[in-house]
Amino acid sequence: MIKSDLKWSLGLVVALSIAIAILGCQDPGKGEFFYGTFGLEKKLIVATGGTLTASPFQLIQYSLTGEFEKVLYDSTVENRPMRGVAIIDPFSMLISTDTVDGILKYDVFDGISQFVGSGNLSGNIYNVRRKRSTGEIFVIESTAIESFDSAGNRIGNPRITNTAIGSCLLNGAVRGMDFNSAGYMIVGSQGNDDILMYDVSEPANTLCVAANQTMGNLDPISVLAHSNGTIYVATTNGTDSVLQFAGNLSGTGTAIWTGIATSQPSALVELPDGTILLAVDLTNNIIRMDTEGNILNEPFILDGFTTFVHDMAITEVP
Amino acid sequence: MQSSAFKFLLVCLTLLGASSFARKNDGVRVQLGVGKPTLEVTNPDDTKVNYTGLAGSLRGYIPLLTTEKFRTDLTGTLRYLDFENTNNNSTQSEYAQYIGPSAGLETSIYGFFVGAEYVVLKGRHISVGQFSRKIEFDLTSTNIYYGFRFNLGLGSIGVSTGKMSSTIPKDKTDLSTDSPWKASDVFLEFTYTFEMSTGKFISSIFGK
Repeated sequence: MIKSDLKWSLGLVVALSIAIAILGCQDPGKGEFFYGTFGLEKKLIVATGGTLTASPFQLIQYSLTGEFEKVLYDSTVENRPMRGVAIIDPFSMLISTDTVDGILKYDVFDGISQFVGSGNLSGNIYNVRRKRSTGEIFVIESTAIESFDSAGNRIGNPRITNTAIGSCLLNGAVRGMDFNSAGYMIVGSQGNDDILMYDVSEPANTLCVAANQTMGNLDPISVLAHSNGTIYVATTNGTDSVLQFAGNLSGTGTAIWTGIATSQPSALVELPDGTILLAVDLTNNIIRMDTEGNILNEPFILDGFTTFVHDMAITEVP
Repeated sequence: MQSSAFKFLLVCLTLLGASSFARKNDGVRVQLGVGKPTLEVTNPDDTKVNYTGLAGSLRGYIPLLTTEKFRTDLTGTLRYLDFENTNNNSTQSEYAQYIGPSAGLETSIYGFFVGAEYVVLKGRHISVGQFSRKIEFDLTSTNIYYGFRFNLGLGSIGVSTGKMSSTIPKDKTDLSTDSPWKASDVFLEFTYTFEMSTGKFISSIFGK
């Protein structure tokens, strides 16, 4: 009896030891949620808005592999060129529009509605972005940056003007805006060709975090704060290019993509796999490249909708 | 230290294995398993979804070919897997359950065993929190497993590990592609061997 109990105990100990040893090798780590449970998956959203009235102004949805899926909204008849798109949640996004200045809200269930009317915006409207931590909405308005709360109420007058804050100065047309992982806003200023980083945590006390003044006369048009910590800037003067800067904007930019003087890149976005999409107006296409600038797909997308891409975004899944 | 532990385990395995076949080896078996499974599902953008959980199984063995130290069984299993997403947080959580039968073959020698079975699973994934939704689907897979069983008289204690792979069909998820599905598990198994052959076992069930 004792011998039998001993054998069972020994067997249990050995079996448990082996099981624990195998389990020790099986840490799956933290991952994502399964998109299928929500019935949602990430999509590429492209906002178009040519400078010619004949151009179509459309919000287009593509798969992440570049297949056209559908036109979400067409504002051509309203003469509202789309200049920016910001994802709000898995079911809605904001679209900044010029000519009829304002911000529209596109909701999967409710369609289009006005988020901010022309009473609060005027001039040349460009990128719109959402600060994730506060839900505030920021939009480029000519040489300034306006902001709104999540209900569309204006914050600031405007939030950032063309007056120097420390070494940061919005000068001339502001083009390209993004938020990095620390919540700092990064914008391109075409008048002085600076790339500026602001701390916009306090509406009444905007701070200058960094200003890169090394570019020369290159006219930044789009800014991407990449998840790898670096900052990518597309430029449209001289030899059009995409420059990579350190995350703190120190030092000079390194060209990872170089076009020609008329390439006219217009928008940058990071795909979930870390690769970068660049919209190029000359060839009316969207290029996919890695973070070193090696071309992966050219064109990634080339169709009747990519004639003048002003902004791109990736939708969210919880 | 690791070397000593390995030697200890090896000695135990040898002693237990050598003493495992003192009796006749053609009895029908039933087995209860308690396991720790992991699951990996791949989203359409290739991001990974990881789950851990608990599992239980009930497996029956009908011997087809036996000698004193070797046997091959036809197996039938009912399996339940319960998972939670490793990304769960205070605002969003996801849980998954799978249940289903399987049938296969298992071969064992000196306590070591390897098996393969065809598995049918009914799956359910539930999201709870800011976004709530439920999807249900069926999937099939092949489970390849192996392990070691310490035969202790009519009972035995064993440990096994196995792997399954399949896809979650896109028509059940509203996604653009099927979702690759890979599960692995480690089971602690308790097996009881009846002192009767297949024929006697069936006869005893039907009272003849």
